[in-house]
Amino acid sequence: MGGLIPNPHDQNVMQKLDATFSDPHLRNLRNRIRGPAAPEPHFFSDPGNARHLARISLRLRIHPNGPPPPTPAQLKARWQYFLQTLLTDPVKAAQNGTTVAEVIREALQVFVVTDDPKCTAITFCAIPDDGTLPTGIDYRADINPDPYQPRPAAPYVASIQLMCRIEIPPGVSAPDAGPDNGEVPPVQPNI
Amino acid sequence: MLMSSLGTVATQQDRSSERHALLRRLSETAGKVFPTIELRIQEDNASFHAQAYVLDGRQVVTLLGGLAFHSRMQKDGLLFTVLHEIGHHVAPGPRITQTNPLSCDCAADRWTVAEGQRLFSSHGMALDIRSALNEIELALSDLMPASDLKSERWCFDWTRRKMALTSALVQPVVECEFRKLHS
Repeated sequence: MGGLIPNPHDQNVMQKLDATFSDPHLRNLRNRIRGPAAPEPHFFSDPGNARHLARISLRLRIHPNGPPPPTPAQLKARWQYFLQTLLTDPVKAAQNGTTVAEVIREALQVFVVTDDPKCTAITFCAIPDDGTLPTGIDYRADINPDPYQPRPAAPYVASIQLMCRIEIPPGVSAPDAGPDNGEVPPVQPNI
Repeated sequence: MLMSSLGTVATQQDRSSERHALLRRLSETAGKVFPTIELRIQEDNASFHAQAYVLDGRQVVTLLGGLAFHSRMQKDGLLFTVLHEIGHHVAPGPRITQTNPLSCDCAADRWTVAEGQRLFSSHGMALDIRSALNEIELALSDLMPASDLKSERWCFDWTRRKMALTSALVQPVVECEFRKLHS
């Protein structure tokens, strides 16, 4: 993420995110979601059945995993805590009347599904608070283009930038997020 | 920024008028050489961290207070930091990821020694690379065990990075060393 002393775990998870949401993996993911024979049209957003960012991340095999220490299992558990707890905190991660996790999940639905094939890739980044986070708020997702406004007519690369007041505390962990209703096996499709 | 734990620097901070003047001078020089890049110093953030990013279409370089005011970081260490971060915006070569607009760390380092230091030197800010690396290493030693500096865990082996930065032969980066290590 462009730091003087880059943390390989940050870089590792960003590489995975950017790789998953660019071709060929993005096309494979879209093939699972869109089209008459698509096996799972509601991968990101299922009306009546809640979808959760932590579960989506798990299903896409996105988490930092090296180099040690900590162990890959500890890194994964810390990442799950980040998605399940920190980004879903109704106060510290409040955004647009919901939570940062929900804002990101809804943006993924728009960029991956609604704007297929116009959105050609999504890039991810985490940056330090530039002083614009309100008191009591630890995270904000800055998303470009705005998924709730008309997007460019031409093909575009979307960006999801997480502004952070705090890093994920060391030592925190959460078990893998459990299944969402309506999921279509396998748990981790090969994309 | 998410998983890192270099820590914060509550003590060992140099908040003197001289330090503020040095940071102003760095900022002014960066503004002259790269007017489109915005250098920010977040004085009240005690993390030892600097970062380049694009925000609302603007190219930004941010030094957090724990680094900008660390007493081990003097003119060369801070100048190298600023150049490295600018390098993320302007260096040619591999990107951090295939879709990210920023150059990878290897390319940013290489641009710093091959091009960046010359541009700043012409504005009266010469970089002594060995002094810079020594200052950064001393600051890092305060923040982490010395053994960590040799591991891949931080900046894909500080020793190797130092050798590349001080080598007489500066070769262009064709492949990001981090991606090579972890692909």
